[in-house]
Amino acid sequence: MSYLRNLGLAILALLLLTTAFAQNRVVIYSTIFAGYQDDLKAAFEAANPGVTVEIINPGGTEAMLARAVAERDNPRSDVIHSGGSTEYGYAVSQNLLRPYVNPDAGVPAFLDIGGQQLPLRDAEGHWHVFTVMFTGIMVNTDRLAALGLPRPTSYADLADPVYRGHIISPNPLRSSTAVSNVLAMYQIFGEDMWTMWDAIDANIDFYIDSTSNTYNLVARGEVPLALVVSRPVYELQAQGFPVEFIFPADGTQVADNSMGIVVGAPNPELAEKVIDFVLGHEMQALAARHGYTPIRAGVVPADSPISLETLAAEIQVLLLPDPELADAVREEMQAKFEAYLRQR
Amino acid sequence: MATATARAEGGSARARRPRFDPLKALYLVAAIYVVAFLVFPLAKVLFETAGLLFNAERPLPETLIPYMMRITWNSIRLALITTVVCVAIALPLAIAIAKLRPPFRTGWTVLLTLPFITPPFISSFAVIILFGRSGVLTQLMEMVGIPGFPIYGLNGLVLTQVLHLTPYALLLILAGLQTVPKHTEEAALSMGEGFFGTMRRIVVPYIYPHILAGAVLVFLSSIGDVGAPLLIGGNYRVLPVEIYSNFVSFLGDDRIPVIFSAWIILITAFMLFFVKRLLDKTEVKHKARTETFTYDVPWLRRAATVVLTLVTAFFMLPYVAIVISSLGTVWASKLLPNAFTLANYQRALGDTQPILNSMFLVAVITPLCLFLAVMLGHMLRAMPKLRWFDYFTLLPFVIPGVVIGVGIIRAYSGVTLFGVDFTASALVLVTAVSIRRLAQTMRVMTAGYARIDQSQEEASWSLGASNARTFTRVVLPQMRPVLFAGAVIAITKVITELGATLLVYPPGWRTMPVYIFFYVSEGQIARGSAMGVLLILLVGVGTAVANLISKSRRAAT
Repeated sequence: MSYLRNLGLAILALLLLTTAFAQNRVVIYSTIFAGYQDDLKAAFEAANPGVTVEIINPGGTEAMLARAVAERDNPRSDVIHSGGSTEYGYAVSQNLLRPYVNPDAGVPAFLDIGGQQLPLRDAEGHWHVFTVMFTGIMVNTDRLAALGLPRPTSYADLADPVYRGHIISPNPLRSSTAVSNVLAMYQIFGEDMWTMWDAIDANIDFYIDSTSNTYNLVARGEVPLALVVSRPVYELQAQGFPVEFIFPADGTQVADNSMGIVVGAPNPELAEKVIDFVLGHEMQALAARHGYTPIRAGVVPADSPISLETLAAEIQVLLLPDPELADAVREEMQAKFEAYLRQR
Repeated sequence: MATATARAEGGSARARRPRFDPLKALYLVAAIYVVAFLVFPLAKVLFETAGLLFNAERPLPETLIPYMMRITWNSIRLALITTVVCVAIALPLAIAIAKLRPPFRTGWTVLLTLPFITPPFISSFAVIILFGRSGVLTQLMEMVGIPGFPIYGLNGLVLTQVLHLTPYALLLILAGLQTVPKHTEEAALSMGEGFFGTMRRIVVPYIYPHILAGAVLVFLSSIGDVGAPLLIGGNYRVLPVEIYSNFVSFLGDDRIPVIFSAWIILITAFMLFFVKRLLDKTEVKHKARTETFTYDVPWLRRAATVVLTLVTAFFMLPYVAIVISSLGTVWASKLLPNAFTLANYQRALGDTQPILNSMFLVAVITPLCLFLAVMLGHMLRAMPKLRWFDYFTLLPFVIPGVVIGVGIIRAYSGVTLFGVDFTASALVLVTAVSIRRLAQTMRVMTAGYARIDQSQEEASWSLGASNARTFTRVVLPQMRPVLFAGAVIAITKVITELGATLLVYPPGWRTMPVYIFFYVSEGQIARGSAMGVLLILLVGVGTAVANLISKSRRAAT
């Protein structure tokens, strides 16, 4: 039974591996994409020799918060990272987050975008916004031209029957990206948005359960248009795909990305270091390479498509996230989209 | 040796076993493992569902059950069509390979079974690259005036699954063809039947159980598939996607994944009765493995070679697409990538962690699966009263990996084992993947045990050997080639596992398939493709080397 012995040895080795170095390990739960995770891990470990960063993606912001709630008596993560400030508001209400403010970080409490003030943290510093992106329309310009379609400029344009079968959207029952577009439209049109959505729904070829593949399909030219957020569009554009991001003229909503320190974090000092590091210049620049708009000035040149300066010029109507509205219409949205999806 | 003497003196040897039988202790260990990490988690999901269904305070939406029935029918319809197409392709191909002696016989089989070692998900993306609205073949077809083929929905799902699953049917039918007794075909020929008549009247009816077993495998794999429907399902919704995506849902109803998981457990458990019977049937036939009778009809051989070439070329298209994609930069709406580069391989090879993780998992899980399969297989053989336990070991065959992952996480979240947090350590990954892949290894073992005549063990007992001694000296040596085959199956199946891994992998344990899944879905298709090619090479070279070793060993003995 030599394989039995080997098995025993292997399991023993495994146990030793997982328990060793636990002291110098910081665990981050993050729903951010793998490319950013790799950058954060590599950069933080380089800046803090001897420290191991473990990033785990629980598969969605709600799943991540649910996991953190479930682990409340025995927290396994130090930092939770990525997801809108609205959702972090919920985490605060669940006593999941520990306040932390570093006065030397050089990050203001509000970010000025074209005259609007976006809060970058709550009053106590439970959560911190580390980057922003925007809701709107992704277009594959080659495919749109090949189909001979006009370029849409607003959400309202998407209701035009010429776009029948030429729009895809992530599934709003699954995707926070899709929900932020729906909420933006709700802020603009109120209850009337449902009549508009009836027309948009008729144009939508299919709702896709994988948000990230929405971008893939448009980038490859499978469909010309999608309802998305800006960040991946800029990244694909920088890679050379014929795609552009359209800020809807009737309004674009800020989709902020937040993070916070977990109450009872196994490694609180490292957790604070992670917060400082993500807000710091180096990580902000790395985030900008992925298409995020940095919250610090001077990280990207003013003429970059993602700079605050460019955004201020391009965005006509800017909407800030509205947590109260989000809460109030949640059940209505769920019922509406269950109906839209189930009658397909 | 008192007991041994007593046994040798007569009476039923089986009735008088020594009091402590180390084998039984090992059976118990293996059985406890299966109960703890498969039966208990799944039972828990079922139990929780009962609570949800009958909770008066939170009634379920009225549309839920009709909707569930509709997507259940979608899943079944997709699986049925895929199965029929796969068998319709695999049967003639298998006959051509086995019976008509085409050139490069092994070559065809190896190429056509490549999908076995292909990471799931990436082949679905290859279908978009080839057949999508801006796909390479679509563009070529449109140039000559043939309209494109709509892939987002049922058509595309069938196409993707057929490209991926035909090898299952092919391999089983090929194995079946080896069991057809030579003399039956000779008799048919001598009575004036032609090639086609013999195939239709003698050979195909003879391998009927193998064909059905292949069909069942395709059917079950199709019904459990998440990758393809997630990517190109369009408006055609199926059960596993509904379960997977409700876990990562935003507005979704948190009860849906549990209810749907329970539903899929019930459906598949029901199907198991059917599957088990078929598998038992094929095992009996495996015993009589004879020399294959071949036909020397030159024009048929030429025709078969042409068909094999064309079909194989078609099945190779996704791999060509993956290789081109892995060597390119941006590839969108054009026939080829904008430029060629080796940078994707440099990056993939630079990311050693997922490669090492996958190798480590293979090194740990393969022996674990073999141990469990050897013990449980022997237990079922030695203790016929426990045959029902086989249903449990077959469950992972039919239950999507996602559901297994969910069950284990729900059952063991927060549990500490030897001072290690179970769901936060690699232990959870080892258990989930080993349970998921036990079924395949188990099939190989039970088939192997079935070939060993029970009278050999009886002879050994009557000569005074203990159960354990009989096992290690008589049974195990004969199982060596089977152990080897089981190891190869376990390695290929462990290294490509995605469904369960995706749900349970702890910090620092991203595997190669997870890496591919994330990078491909994030638009870095080239980088994911490069890792996919590395994975195929790794497994391909590994199994080829293993095959050579086993061949030289067999030659030596």
